[in-house]
Amino acid sequence: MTEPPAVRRLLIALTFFLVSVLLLLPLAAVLIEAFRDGFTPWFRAIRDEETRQALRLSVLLTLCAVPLGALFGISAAWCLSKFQIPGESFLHSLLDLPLAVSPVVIGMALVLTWGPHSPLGRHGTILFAFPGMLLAVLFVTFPYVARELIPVMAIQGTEEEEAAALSGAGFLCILRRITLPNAKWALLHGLILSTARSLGEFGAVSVVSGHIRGHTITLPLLVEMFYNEYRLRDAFAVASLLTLTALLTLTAKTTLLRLSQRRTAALTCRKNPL
Amino acid sequence: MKLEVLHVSKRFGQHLALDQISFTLNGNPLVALLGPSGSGKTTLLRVLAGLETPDHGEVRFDGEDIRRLQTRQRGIGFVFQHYALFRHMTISENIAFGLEVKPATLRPHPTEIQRRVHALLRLVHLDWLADRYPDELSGGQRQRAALARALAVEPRILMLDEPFGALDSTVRKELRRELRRLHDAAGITSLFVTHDVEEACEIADQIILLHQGRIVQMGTPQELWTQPVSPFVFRFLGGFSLIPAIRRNGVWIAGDPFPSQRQAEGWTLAHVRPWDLLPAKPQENALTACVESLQTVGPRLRLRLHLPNSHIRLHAEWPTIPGPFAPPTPGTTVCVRPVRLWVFPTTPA
Amino acid sequence: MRPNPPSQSVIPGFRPALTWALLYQAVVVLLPLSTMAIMAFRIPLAQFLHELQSPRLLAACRLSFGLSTLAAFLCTLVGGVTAWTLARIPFFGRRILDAFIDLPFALPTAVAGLALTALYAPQGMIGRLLAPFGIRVAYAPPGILLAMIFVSFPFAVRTLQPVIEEIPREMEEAAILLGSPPWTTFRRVLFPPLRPALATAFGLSLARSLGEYGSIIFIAGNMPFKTEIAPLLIVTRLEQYDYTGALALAVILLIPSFLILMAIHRLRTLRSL
Repeated sequence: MTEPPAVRRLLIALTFFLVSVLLLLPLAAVLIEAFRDGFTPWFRAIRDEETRQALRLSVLLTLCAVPLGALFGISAAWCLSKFQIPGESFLHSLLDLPLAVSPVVIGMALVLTWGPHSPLGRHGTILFAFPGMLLAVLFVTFPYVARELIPVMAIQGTEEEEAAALSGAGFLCILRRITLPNAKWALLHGLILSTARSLGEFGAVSVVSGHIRGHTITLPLLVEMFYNEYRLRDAFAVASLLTLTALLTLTAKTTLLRLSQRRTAALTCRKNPL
Repeated sequence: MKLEVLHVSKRFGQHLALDQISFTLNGNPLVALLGPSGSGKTTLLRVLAGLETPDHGEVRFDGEDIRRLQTRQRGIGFVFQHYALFRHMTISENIAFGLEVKPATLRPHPTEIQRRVHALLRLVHLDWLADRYPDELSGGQRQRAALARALAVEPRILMLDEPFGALDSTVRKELRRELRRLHDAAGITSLFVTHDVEEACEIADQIILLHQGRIVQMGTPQELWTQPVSPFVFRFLGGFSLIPAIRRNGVWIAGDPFPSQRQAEGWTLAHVRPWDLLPAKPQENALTACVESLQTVGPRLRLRLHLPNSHIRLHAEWPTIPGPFAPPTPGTTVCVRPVRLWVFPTTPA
Repeated sequence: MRPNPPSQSVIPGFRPALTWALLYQAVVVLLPLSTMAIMAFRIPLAQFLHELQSPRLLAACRLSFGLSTLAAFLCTLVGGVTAWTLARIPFFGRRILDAFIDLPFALPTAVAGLALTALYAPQGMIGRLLAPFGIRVAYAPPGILLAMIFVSFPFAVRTLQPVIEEIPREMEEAAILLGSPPWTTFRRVLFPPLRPALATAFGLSLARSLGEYGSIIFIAGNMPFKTEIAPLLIVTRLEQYDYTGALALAVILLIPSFLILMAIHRLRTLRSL
């Protein structure tokens, strides 16, 4: 490494400063504010009926969205990595779409499609209800599992699958016994990422939720609602809950990275930020 | 120039990569660092180049400790195993790099740089590829470009790490001679790492043979072949068989595989080269062996033999010139006589 | 070795997998996007142009585009320094810092917005220190900038870090042995191969900053003409059932997003050549 020692020290100091001010300070701020008056008010805010309803809705959304997204991710990765198909690069770009498009625009597209004025939304309650919110979460989380799986599955090539197919194994059998075990770290990583995003999505969900108290308020929306109602203590209490899940996500991610490096399975865990 | 290496040791964790290496080079020889993989030859080259710092010992160029010299003053031209050409620069930009980064007072004028780059490109026969990028070149061409880049700074010593390792065998042979030619043209000391005996013997003036981090023998190729200091050196250089031998009148001759008690003291297993195991008439000092298989490879006949009623296998290589003996067939027996036996003080049986 | 086309492959399951993937993508992604595109094309051009002249829209766009360009630039710079340090310099605490880089992704944006506001509001922990100097961060453009940098930081770092890690050590050693001083080695040998990654990092940060909504609405203050960002104006117009106005603005936001996507895609294919 060429950096002279003085430059090294400067870079290390700069990195510590940047990460602390930019990332750690806000994290600390949430926890300090949440517990400023001790545990009792925090506990009261968490046990509040509205918080519990929001928590239930957030968990339900995540439980529905993550498996559906995973099924999509596995299928898409299967098609893109084990076969040579036309339009491959277009499909790859499509997977980057939710990264580049504003969540608000995604929410708006859903409003226009499923809203009361559109032919599709006229008959049922999709918008401003659970199905609409699920669609929003599905949209923003759809690339995560696929983007993690594709590079790993592509590097592993097709030989093992071909060998299994020649010995008579069917699609699901190959998937379950050959492909997914080989790509399990990438799959787990994708699942962690999409769980985090499902729990935390704000923009797209906010546009399609309609903010109906007790019905379409998720945890992140509740933070905003409390904040707008000047119930700051409660807002911070809910925020601290979400912060804890974020820390859990980071821990899971780091552990996974360490495990997968030990097993030399997944190469891309760290390479894709999301 | 004079290169002195004094008691250099280097440890990586538990592994002692270099163990008390010392040698001196004078004049401008072409030297091969030869050894099996893991023998420490690449580590030694990197220490000499200053890319690794030894734990003990020092390296001196013309009497000066290289740690006291700035990288530029050391005057090292280094060719990496995978060439390490700068991928975003053309070949001529790569070659010019070392001249362009000199401090302003030492830097040649741009037209002079251009002239030298062209001269080097001509020297390595790449002038028609000057404006290509490394990715557009074949392995052999990249190798030449890397050589030209290393020579551009007019180094005192040229170092090459497995210079032909990544090339196919035809290009290898061609570039070997090329390296010899460039070495003679530049008139500098050159050191190259290789695990290929033939490569080392063909072009090197001197061979330094390494094993487990130590120098086991240093000398001209001729010296290594004719005066191997240990069974390792003998075995590393080429094919061999172990043959029973007895000492008679102070010389070793082929003997009975099953020595009697009386003979046991003067009995050993001696090394013999395949081409020293020649067909013979049944007589004393000859062995009768069964032919297991044989192949003709060019002008040579290769035989696998074994001594009757024993596990001792022999390899023999005979020239296929018409001779007094009809070529044997598998399953028959032949008589062979070792024309030269090598007995080392501690030959493992 | 490249895989076979599905018709020649012995591997089963192409049809069911493709059917499910396409169906999912059609319902979840393509249907809403194409509906929006159709509705956008139905707006008469005159009306569309009229919408674009709305001063409130122009102010929001100016703010969003200006700040997100600046944020993407700063983020690439700051992310570049961080990625370089994390990738190349061993130091105590590196693993922990490395793990925390992804925090803005794991942390819901609403929480990030709340946290940044708590820190930088005039009564907040840092805001209190800055207020005497007349520096306003929260409820002003610097706050928006800060939120944008916060949310796009991991994108920049994670785009650059693997590329920096993969710079071959031999290339650097070759430059040193040719006598190149450290700064020249960086400028001429190490930096040029990073340029495509830097462009990607910039593009991703720009797209993310431009579209960010959750964290910014907490810290921005949301004053029309002053601190109202484009995504917020879309939400406001949707709430007023002004679909034409919202669509016009969405188109303006989508164009750079698609351009960035295409550019990144192109950079990626160039690099894999």
